[in-house]
Amino acid sequence: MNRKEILFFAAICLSCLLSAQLYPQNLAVSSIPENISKGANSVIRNYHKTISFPDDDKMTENVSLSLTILNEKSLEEAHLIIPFNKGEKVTVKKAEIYNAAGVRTKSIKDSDMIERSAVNNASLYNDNRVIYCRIIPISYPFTIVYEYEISYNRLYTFEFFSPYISDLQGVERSALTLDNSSGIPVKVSKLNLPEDAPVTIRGTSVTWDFSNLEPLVSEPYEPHFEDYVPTIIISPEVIQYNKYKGKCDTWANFGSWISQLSAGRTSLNSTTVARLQEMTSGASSDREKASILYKYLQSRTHYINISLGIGGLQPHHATEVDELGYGDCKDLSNYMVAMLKAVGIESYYTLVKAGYGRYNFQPDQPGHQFNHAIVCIPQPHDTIWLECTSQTIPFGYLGDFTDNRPVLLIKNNTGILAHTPEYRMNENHSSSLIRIDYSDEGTAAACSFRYSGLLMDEPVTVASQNNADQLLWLNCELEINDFTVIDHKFEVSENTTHSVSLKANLALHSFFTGKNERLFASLNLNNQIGAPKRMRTRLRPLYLPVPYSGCDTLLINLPAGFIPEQLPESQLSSAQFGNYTMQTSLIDHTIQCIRRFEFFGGTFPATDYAAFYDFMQKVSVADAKQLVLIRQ
Amino acid sequence: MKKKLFAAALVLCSMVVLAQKSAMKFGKIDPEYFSMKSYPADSSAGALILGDIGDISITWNDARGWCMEFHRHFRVKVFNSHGFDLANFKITTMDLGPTYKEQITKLKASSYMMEGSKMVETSLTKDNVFIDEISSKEKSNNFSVPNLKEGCVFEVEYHIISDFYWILPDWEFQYTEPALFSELTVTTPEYFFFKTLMKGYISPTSTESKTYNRSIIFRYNDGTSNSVVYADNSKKFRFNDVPAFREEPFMTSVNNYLAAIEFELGSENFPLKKRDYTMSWEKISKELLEDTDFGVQLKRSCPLKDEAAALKISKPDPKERMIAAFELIRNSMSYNDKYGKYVTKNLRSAWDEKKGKSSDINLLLVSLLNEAGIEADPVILSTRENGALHPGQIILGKFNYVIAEARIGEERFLLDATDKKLPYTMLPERCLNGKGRRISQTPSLNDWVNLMGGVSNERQLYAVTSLHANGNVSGEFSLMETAYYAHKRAEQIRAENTTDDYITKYESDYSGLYIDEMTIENTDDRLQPLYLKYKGTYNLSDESIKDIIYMNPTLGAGLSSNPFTAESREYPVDFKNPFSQKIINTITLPEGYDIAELPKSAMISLPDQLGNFRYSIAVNGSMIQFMSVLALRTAVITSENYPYLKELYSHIVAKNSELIVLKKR
Repeated sequence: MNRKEILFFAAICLSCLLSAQLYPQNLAVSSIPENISKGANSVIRNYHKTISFPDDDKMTENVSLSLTILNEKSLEEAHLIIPFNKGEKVTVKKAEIYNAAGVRTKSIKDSDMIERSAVNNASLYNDNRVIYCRIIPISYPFTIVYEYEISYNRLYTFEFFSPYISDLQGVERSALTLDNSSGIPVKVSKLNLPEDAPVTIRGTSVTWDFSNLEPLVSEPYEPHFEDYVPTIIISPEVIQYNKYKGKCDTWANFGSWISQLSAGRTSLNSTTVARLQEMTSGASSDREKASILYKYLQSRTHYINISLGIGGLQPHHATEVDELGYGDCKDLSNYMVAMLKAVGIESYYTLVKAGYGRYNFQPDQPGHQFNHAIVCIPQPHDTIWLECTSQTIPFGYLGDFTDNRPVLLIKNNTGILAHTPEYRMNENHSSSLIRIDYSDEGTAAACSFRYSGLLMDEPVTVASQNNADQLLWLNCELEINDFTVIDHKFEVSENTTHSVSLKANLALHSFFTGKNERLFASLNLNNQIGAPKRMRTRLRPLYLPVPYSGCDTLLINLPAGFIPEQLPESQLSSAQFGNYTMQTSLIDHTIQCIRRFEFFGGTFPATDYAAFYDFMQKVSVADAKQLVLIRQ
Repeated sequence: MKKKLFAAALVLCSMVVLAQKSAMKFGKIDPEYFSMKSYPADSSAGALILGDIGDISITWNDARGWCMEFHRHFRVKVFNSHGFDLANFKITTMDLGPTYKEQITKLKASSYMMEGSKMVETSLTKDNVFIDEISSKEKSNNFSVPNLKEGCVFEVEYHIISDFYWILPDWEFQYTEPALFSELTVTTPEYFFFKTLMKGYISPTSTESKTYNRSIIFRYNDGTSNSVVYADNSKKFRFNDVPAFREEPFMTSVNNYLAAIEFELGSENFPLKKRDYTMSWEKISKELLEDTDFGVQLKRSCPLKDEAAALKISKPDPKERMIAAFELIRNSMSYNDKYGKYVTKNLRSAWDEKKGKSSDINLLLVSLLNEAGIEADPVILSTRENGALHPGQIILGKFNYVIAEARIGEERFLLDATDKKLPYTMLPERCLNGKGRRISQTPSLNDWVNLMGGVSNERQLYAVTSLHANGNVSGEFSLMETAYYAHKRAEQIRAENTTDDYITKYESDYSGLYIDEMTIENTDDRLQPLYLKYKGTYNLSDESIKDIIYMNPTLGAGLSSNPFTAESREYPVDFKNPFSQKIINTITLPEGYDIAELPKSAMISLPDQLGNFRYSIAVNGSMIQFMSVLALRTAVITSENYPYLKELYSHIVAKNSELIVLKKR
C-alpha cells in the first residue's frame, strides 16, 4: 500500500469516526434500505468485531452488534449467547432491546443473564461455559444491541470472520478490526472479498468494512459457504499457550509445537509393551501387526471426551489411556501411535479437519485449522490411515468424515502436510442381486448386497448394531411391501478393498399387485432414485461431492400362466453427470432386470443445474418403471 | 434331537440360576459371567444388566434432622462396544445452601476382566471424577467406568444423602439393554406417606412389604434424653428378566412407556402435626384454588377490567365474546415456551409485561372470561412430553400445564392462548394427551375433561386430470387440509422464504410433478381449511407415444410404504388425532385408447369401526372416476389391534401401486 492510499484511508476513517460520534445510529426499522431487508429474516445494522493482540501472550475479542429481528424465523439469533471457557474473562458492556421505531425499550441487567456450564452430551467433562439471556419478544420487528469483550490469556487462534452471521440476513454494515499493538507477526487471508472492499489503516489497527449486502439464500448441492461468502481469516504466527511456546509461520513449525504437547506422552509401561509384543509376535508383516493392534484398540477403548484448557489440544498420556480404556480422538490416536511404537512400527499422529462434504482449508495459512486426530502409518505402498474413535469400522477405513483432504502429519517433531485418500466412482460402489421366487403358496426373496467405498459408511455402522435395529434398517432399504426377514447376515470384509456384504432371506406376504388380468411389480426394489428439487432460479455452482456407481440385478420367476406384457428398458447418458441403463429380458421363464448407474459427481456452473435436474428426473422416471405381466 | 433338548434345558437352568441371585457384594463377581458370550433371551444385546439395586429411605440424622438417603448398586456384563454407553454417569446434586443440599457420600466404580484364572479389577480413582458446576445450585459428578473391554463386567455403587426428604428419586426398571433384575426398596417412617406411581407396560415380578421398629433418641443440653419409637414401612419392587426398551414409531414420550416408579409426598402424620398434601381430587382442587399462585389469582380483580367491560358491550353474543376475549389474550401475550401450572409472579404483572408461561396466559384468559360474564375454569394437564396421567394416581406433581375451559350453555370450549397461529377451536399438539382435570369452585365440576379427539384432521386432494398419449398427466388440483394437517402445512409454507420456494418443496414430494402456478389460501386462518390450488403436469414418462399406457390413479398422493414394519408392537400407536385422507381424481382418457384393465374397487376395515380404507374406481364415458379414502376414527390404536393396523396399511400400499392399463385402438 502506498502513502497516498494510506492518507486516503485515514481520511475515510476520520470521517467515520466523526459521524459515529455526532450521529448515533438510527435503529428504526424504517431506515433499512429495501434491497437489504427483502427476503431477509433479520438485518445486521452494525456488527463490529475487534481482535486485539495487546501482548505476545494475550488476545481480546470485542464484539458490538446491533441486529434487527424482522420476524420469528430469526428469533434464535436474538438471544444473547456468549460461549467461553473457564479462565477467560467475559465482560458484557451493553445488552439492550429497541422497538421498531428505534426507541430503547429494555436494558438487560446482569442479573437477567445466566452463566452456566455448557458441557453437552458429547463430552463427559470440559470447561465450556456460556452466558446467556433468552429474549421473549412482545412484537416484531425489534432490534437487539449487544456489546461484550472476551479476554484470553493465551495466543492461539484461527479466526474466521464473515460479515454475515446467518443466511437470509441482510447487512447494513459489518466490520472487522485487527488491532495488533504488540506487533507480533499475523497472517491474514481474504476470501471472496470484492475488489473495492474498503480497508482502513490507523496506527496498529486495520479495519475491513462491508456494507449494503443482500441476504444469502441457501440452495441444494451448493459449495461450502467459505467458497463464496466474503471471509477474512486471521492467525497470529506465534503461539503462547500456558507454558507452550511456538510458531506457526510454517506447517513444520506448527507441527513442532503440536509435537511439544505430546512430548513424553507416547510411552507405555513395560508390561503393556510386553503384552503387545506377544500379541503381535505371530504376525508376518507390519500391516498384520497394526491390524491386530487396531482390533485390540477397538475392543478395549471407547470415545469419551474430557478436555480442560489446553487439554482441548493436548492428548492424555498413553499409559493413562491404557489404564482407563477411554479417551477422545487425540488420546486414542496418541495411544495407537504408542502401541505401534511398542512393536516397532513407525506411525504419525495426524491432525485433520473432519466433517462431511466440502470445507475450506487454507494451505498457505499454517495454524489451528483442525478438529480431529487420526493416525497415519507410512508403508512402501498404500499408506494406512486409522480412525481411532470407532469400535466398528474396518482396519484402514476412513469414510466421508476424513477422506480426500489435507492433513498434518506430526513426524519427528515437525509437521508435514499430506492428503488422505480419495474414494473414486468405482470404489463407491453398491451392487445387489435379488431373486424373487414367486409361488401361490408363498413367495421368497433371496437377497445379497455389497457396499464399498463411501457407500459402506452406513452399512458398516448397521452391521454392528443389534438385531432390531438391523431389521429396521433393512425395512427402510427395501422398497418391498410387507415382508418378514427369515434370516440375515452382515459381513465386513477387511481386505485391501473394504466392503460390507449383506445376505438376507425374506418371506414376502405379497409381491405382485393387481389381481385381475395383469400383475404389477416394481423393477427396482432397493435403490430407486428420486429427482432433485426443480429450481426456478439458481445462483450458485452445483457441487456434487460423492461420485458413485451401482449394479443391481433382479430375477423374478414367471407365475404360471403369465407372460410379460412389455420388457421395459432405458438408456440415459449425460457426458457431465453420468450414465444409466436398465434392461429387462426373459430367460427360461425368469425375468431378469439389470440396472447400472454411474454418477460422476464434480462441480458445475449454476447454469448446469437445469441439465442436472433433467438428467436425474429422467433417471427417476426410468427407475420407477413397472414390470407388467399379463395372463396368457 | 436329544442333544438339542439338552442344550435348551441347560440354557433354561442357567437362566433360572441367574435370575435367582439378588444380593450383590461390591467386588464379588460370579466367574460364570466372564465366560458368558451373549444373553440367550436377546442375543444381539450389547450388554446385560446383571442387577440394579436401589434403596431409598428416610432416616433421622441428629445433625440434619430428616434426610432422604439413596443407595444404588448397578452391575453390568458387557458383550460388545455398544454396552460401553451404560458406563457413563452424570449424577447431579442440588445445593441451596448449608441446610438444603444433596451430598454424594460414597462413590465406587470398578471394571473386571479375567486374565488367565485371575480376576483383574480396575477401580475408578477420584481424579477421574469430574465435577461440573452446571449452575450455582446444581452440580454434576461426571465419570466413566475405567478400563472397559468387550466381555468385561463393571459395577457402580453410590450413596446420596439429601436434605430434601420429601423428594424421593424416580427409579427406572427398564433400560436400553436387557436386565436380569432391577429392584427398588423404599423405606419411609410411618410419619410420611408417599403416593407411588408405577408406569410402563410390564408388571413387577414381585412386591413385598415389611415393617421395622425404629427409635430416635433425642439428647438435650441438660443431659436428659428421650426416645421416640416409630415404625418404618418398607416396600420392595422387583422386576426380573426385563426386556430392553426400544423405541417404536408413533410414540409419545419415552417416559410414557418405560417401566418406572415415581413418588409424591401425600401426607405427614406426626402425633402433634398432621398435614395432608394430596389425597383426593377434591383436596387437589381445594389446594390449587387456595394457592396464591393459582386460584387466588383468579379471585383477585381482573387486570383487564376495562377490556372486559368493552367486550360486554361490543359483543352481546356470548360465543362471539368468548372468541374475542380469547383472541385478545392470544394476540397480546407472548409465550415464553415454558410450561407450568403456577403463575410467574401474578396475573397483573404478566399482563403488564405482556408475556409469560402457559399458566400466566391461560389463567389470565380464565380471569378475563369470568370478568366478561362467561363461565370459565382452568384445566390442568400433563403435556405429551411429560407423560401420561393415570386417573387412579392422584399426584399433583404430574400436571405441568394449564389451559382454560369456557362454558356457554351446553357447549364447552378448551382454550389455549399460547400459540398465535391457533384458533379457539384447536389446542396445541403438546396438550393432546389423554385427559385433563378441571379445577373449579363448583364441586360438581371438579372432574376429568377429555383433551383428545375434539378435532379431526382432514386432507382431500381433488384432481381433474387428462392422461396423454405419452403417459404424462396434466390437470388442475386442489388440496384441502383442516386442523393440524393445515397447521403443519402452514408452518412449512411460512418456513420457506418465498411461495416459489414452497412450490419447489411441494413438487419434490411428488415424483415428476411440474407446477405451473399455485395459489395458497388461508395460510394463517385455522378456522378455515387451507387450500393449495395449482395447475401442473406429472412428467412420468419420456415423450414418445405409447401403445400401452400404465397410469396410477393416486398420482403418488397415497401412502406408498408401510410405516409399521415390526411384526408386533409392545406399546399403543398414537396418531394424536383421528384423521381422514381422501383422493378424488377425475381422469379424461386420451383419444384412440381403450381401457384394457382397471384396478378393482375394494374396502378394508379395522375391527370395531376404528377405521377403514375405501378404494373405488369406475368408468364414466371417456372418463375414469377414482376415489380413495383412509379414515381413522380414533387417535390411539392399542397394541392388540396393531396387527390389523399393519395389515390395513399393507393393503393400502398394495392398492396404491395398482395401475390403470390403456391400449391403443
